[in-house]
Amino acid sequence: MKKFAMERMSLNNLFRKPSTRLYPDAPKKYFPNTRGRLVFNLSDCTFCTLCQKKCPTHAITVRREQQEWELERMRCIACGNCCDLCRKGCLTMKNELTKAVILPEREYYRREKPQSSGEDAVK
Amino acid sequence: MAMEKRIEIFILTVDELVSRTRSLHDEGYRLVQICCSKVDESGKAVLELDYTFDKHYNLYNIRISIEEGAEIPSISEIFGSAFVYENEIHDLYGVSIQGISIDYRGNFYKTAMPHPFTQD
Amino acid sequence: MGKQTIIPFGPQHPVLPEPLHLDLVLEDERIVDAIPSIGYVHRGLELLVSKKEYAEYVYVAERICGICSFMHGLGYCQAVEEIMEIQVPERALFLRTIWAELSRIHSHLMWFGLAADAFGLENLFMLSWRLRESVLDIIEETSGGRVIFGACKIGGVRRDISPETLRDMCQKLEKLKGHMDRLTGVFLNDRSVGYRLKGIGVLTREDAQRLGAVGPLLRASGVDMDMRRLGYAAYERLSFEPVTENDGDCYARCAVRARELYQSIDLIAQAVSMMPDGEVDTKVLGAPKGECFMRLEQPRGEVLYYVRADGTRYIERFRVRTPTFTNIPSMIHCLKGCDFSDVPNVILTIDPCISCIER
Repeated sequence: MKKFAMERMSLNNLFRKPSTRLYPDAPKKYFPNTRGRLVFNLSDCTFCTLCQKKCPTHAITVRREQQEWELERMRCIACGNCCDLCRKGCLTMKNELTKAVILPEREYYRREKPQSSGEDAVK
Repeated sequence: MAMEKRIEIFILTVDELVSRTRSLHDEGYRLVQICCSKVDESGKAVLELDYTFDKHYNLYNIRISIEEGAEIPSISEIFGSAFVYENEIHDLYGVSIQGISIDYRGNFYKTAMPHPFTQD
Repeated sequence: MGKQTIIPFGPQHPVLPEPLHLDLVLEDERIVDAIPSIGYVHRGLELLVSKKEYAEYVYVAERICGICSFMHGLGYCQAVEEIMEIQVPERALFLRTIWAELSRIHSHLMWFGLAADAFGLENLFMLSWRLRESVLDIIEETSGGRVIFGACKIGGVRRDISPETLRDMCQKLEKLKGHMDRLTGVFLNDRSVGYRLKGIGVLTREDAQRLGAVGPLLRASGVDMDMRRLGYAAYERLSFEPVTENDGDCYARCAVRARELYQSIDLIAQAVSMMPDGEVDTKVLGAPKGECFMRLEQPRGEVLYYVRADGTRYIERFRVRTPTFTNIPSMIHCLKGCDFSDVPNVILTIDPCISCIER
């Protein structure tokens, strides 16, 4: 049984640089692959409701008649299933996490006229 | 993926269960799990209990079918580890199992309602 | 016989982040019996399977437990693939193996931290979680999630790992070995750690087999059983020997896990060197019909999945028998006769994962 194994480690740690980051000043670096948050691009969407059907947590609601696409951000588990399935490629994963929120928020996109790409996001 | 391609399930009656289990124990099998599932058999709810045993990485399965609320004998005298599964099945499915070696009498799972897994 | 006292342990307890309740029956300072009760965070995930399509349930299965999340996804996928007789591409099998071993490393490192915390060495806790962080970074880089991998799907895996990343990963893990030497050196050689672990909570070989222990708990009692021997994923092409110790006490369980860390790194290196090229997934058509048992070796031991499907897109019955559930009888056995102050140690060396119990 080796003596002072732990003491040696503790002494080493005294003279080392800290392993932690000063968080808000030194933000976390994300990897290109990180599944952070879901990003929706309204302009290509055909409102096919595939993402709504295949979402495991029912976070997405699509209303085809009103041309509306809605995401309940707090229900989204960032699995990326909808991104894999979307035929138009208008759902992507950004490699950043969402900011902390106080209230569960719904992200809401509506196409005003069928041809134009105007969008208004109401929260 | 050459593993467990064929699962053999031996369907037994409730009376044969203990004697078959004892002979498996004597052959050196180990209890892997007891699984209860609720199945619909021509409109009647039937509980199927699968007893899984293992020896040298080979599975041996026994299945018994009982009606809801029926009584079955315990195998925890033969396999010491069976009591957790039997208590679980009693708490979640309401099967009364006679003679469990360590019987928690329905206090193993803290459930809000009795026998949640039998509800539809 | 002295006066018996009942002391409740949990569901909220400093050493156990998860809710397990034990009623400890004490005679003076000695435990004579322990009565467990669970169900505090039961989520009914086994019943949820009949409400989700079989391909979407992978995401639910991964969330059974945060630590072995990849294993749960893998087990479910393998069971469904087995029923549907899907041939998974070679490369996907190797990627699965790599991710499975990465999750074993991160689970064991986390366990070392928690165990150190249980016997009162915060410093060691910090050290092992710092090492775990570097493994989590590798996981995030390759799969996209830190804890929930989201990498497995029916018919293969969802992303590929590029050869450069694989090479980097091997180098990082080689470097991690040096740091792990320091960590395991303290665990296995330090005198004060030895006082807390040696001869505590002994589980003999016979008792372990009688009580159906699995995983490192069983291997610490000298039984050579490892479900990776079944040869699922790419394990049949990798060479490894299950790690066993003979003492069956808390120290032996520590030693088993310490050696498994190195074994996992070795397995990853083997898998990377043998990695074939090609596709990583196949198209899945139709719906499963049939039933199947699937067993894997999780960080905590043997896990068994039972899937019964009736040919619709919804699976009829899904059962997970998790290793912690099987280890409850052994835990109760180990607790009997030990001192009250050793209870956290004994419980922690079983490596309980309550989320796994409460599917």
